[in-house]
Amino acid sequence: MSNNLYRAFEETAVSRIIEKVPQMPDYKFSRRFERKMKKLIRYGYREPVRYHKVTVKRLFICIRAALIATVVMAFSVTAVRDFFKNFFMEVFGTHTTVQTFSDNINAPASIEDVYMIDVPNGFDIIYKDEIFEWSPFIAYIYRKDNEYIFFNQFLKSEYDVNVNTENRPLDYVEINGNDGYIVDLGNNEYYISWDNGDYIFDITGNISKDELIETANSVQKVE
Amino acid sequence: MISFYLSLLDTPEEKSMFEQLYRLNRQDMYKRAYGILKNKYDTEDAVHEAFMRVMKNLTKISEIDCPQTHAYLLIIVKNVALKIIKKRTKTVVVDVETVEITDDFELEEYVISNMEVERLKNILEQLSDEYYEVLFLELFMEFNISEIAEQLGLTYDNTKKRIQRAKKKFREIAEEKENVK
Repeated sequence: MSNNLYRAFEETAVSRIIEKVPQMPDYKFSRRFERKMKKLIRYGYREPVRYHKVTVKRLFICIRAALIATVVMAFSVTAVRDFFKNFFMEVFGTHTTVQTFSDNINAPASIEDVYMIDVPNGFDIIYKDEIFEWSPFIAYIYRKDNEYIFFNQFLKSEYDVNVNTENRPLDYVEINGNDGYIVDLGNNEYYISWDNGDYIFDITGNISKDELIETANSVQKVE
Repeated sequence: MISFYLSLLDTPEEKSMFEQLYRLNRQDMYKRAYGILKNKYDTEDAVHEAFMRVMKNLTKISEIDCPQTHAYLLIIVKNVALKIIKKRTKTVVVDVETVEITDDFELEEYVISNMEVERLKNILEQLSDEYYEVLFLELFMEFNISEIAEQLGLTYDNTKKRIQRAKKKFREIAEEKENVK
């Protein structure tokens, strides 16, 4: 585009567009809106998840997920049962939707305790969520050159993620004695999620699997 | 690149950029949409929908805190609000862009020939809002027709025709001024 036309747009944008904003006091956005936007900012737009009301269908999905898990995972029968007590997984062609399946009545309704991780040497925190009363989760992002670690602490009622499981192994993992799962995302990226009874945590990083598990195990409540 | 979430924001930088856009623009976007919708619930939905549309085109934003980016977001939210109004009032949308414009007028070539900034500004000031907006999106923000159509909630054909009409109008105004001289 010609420089003159570019400048003409630059100089008319205020009068043509911005000055048409009505003069009114700032608006206090609703809690519902803030939550929606926070999710959008952190996780982007996702295809809506269809919830199944039909018990038989739901049961079938659980059985299918459990069958896949028992074939793929090498862990005890007790662990399998406990694992699926905590997470509800719905397997699609390209991804798996994971939600908490356990009773959330006793879990905190807002984030009362904050947890943090010890990251490997050289990682710096580049983002930390502000915590509000309505926060559905808290996110932290750490970075070291091209490596990153995302760490999230979710309210159990708000945990609802899509895992890219297309041709990706999903395994059982124990974090600090709590049941969880780990997904190999390829390209040296791993994802771990676990439930400590009060909150769901997840951590994603492009560091080694062992390092990520060790980082997940370092999670502790901030006093 | 994080492939875990089915997200449109791939990197921490994009997330941070999007959050800044949100913080800086949400109040004016709300006010712009509220001016049309007069209902806080619909307005919140419009702002949310507008940010979803913007999210898909984040790479086109070169500077976060500038009037032009602010204007772009306001154009999007205004059009989302108008779409909601149309749905709410069950207006039958008549396809007003049915007249075929065969003249494939290239505005850029036309104005490249030494038009002064002041003259161009004067012409832009005279365009209707909808014409100004599509030209702003196409020529200033450098969106293609499909991207504009998606963001304004229009069909591809109507968007193309609206752009052609806007350019035609631009030339008419320019030529009128030429004749007056």
